Amino acid sequence: MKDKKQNSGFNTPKNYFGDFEDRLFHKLNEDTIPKESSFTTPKEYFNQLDSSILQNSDSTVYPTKVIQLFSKRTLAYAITIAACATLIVSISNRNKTLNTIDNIEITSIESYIEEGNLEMDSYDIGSLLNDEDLTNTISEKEYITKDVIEDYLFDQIEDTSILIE
Amino acid sequence: MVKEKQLISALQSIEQKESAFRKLVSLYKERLYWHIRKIVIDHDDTDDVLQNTFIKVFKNIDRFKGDSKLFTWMYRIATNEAITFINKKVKQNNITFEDVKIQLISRLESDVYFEGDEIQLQLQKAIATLPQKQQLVFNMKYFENHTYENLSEILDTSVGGLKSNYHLAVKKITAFLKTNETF
Repeated sequence: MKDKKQNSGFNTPKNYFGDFEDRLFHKLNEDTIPKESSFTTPKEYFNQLDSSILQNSDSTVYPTKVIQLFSKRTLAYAITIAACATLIVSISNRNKTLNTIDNIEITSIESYIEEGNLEMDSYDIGSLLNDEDLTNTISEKEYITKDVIEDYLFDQIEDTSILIE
Repeated sequence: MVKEKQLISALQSIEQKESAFRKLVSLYKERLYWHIRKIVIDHDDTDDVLQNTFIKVFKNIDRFKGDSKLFTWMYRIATNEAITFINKKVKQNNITFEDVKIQLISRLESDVYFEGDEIQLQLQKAIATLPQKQQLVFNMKYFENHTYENLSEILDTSVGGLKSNYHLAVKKITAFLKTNETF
């Protein structure tokens, strides 16, 4: 039976008939997989489902009390508390003045040091000063001379024999 | 005939079923493809329908009694599958069988798997205007060279009825081509 399909103008993709069997058997194998999942439901489940859903969703049968998250009274309290807190903070901030080293009295600093609160030795102080500060503060000309030291010692020490030695 | 009987008994035996089925597919896939293609037009749709046809054959071969030729039986399944496929489109789009065919034919010009010239395109358009039965008869007689006896078995229609269908189809197609002559 020779047909005239070649004259109809229709064509197929390349090698369509070559791999047709493979695709067909793949589909046949798929068809052998059971369509049913084997899950079942209790008897009359779906017949009763509608009424069960409607019963549970009917709000007129079981009215539910709705508690508003923000009642008017609670809201008023919250606003009052927030206003008071803001007022207190702003007043306390207004009274505060900024403490700087300039507006602390010298006597206060001295008494602070005398009370032994400043635990610093000469090395600690030295570490706070740079070379320039040191040369500006202590110049060679300001060194205490030998004579002055001797005079000071003679005046202050009772047993001067140690000095003669 | 002896060969067909052997093939049928192989298809109906558990041990040989798969290998016999492969042989059957190899023998008839092309002829059934072209038969389906003339009805559903699109290649991918044809592929789906052809696969479904063979799956039905595989699943129902045990019930084949041999009252008709195996080839005729398969053709009948293929025709039913293809018409069912088109009828689904008819239902989905709520239009007639002929309208679906006209829609499908209108896409042929951009179809990569249609290489027909202007005359062949016009012929497909003319076929699409025919009633379903006349389309079937014309395609199977004109393109596939079936005898009226064969067609009678496949389409379950008398030879006289088929002849009448075919002549009517040819007349309408000729008229269509004359009216829409662009070549």
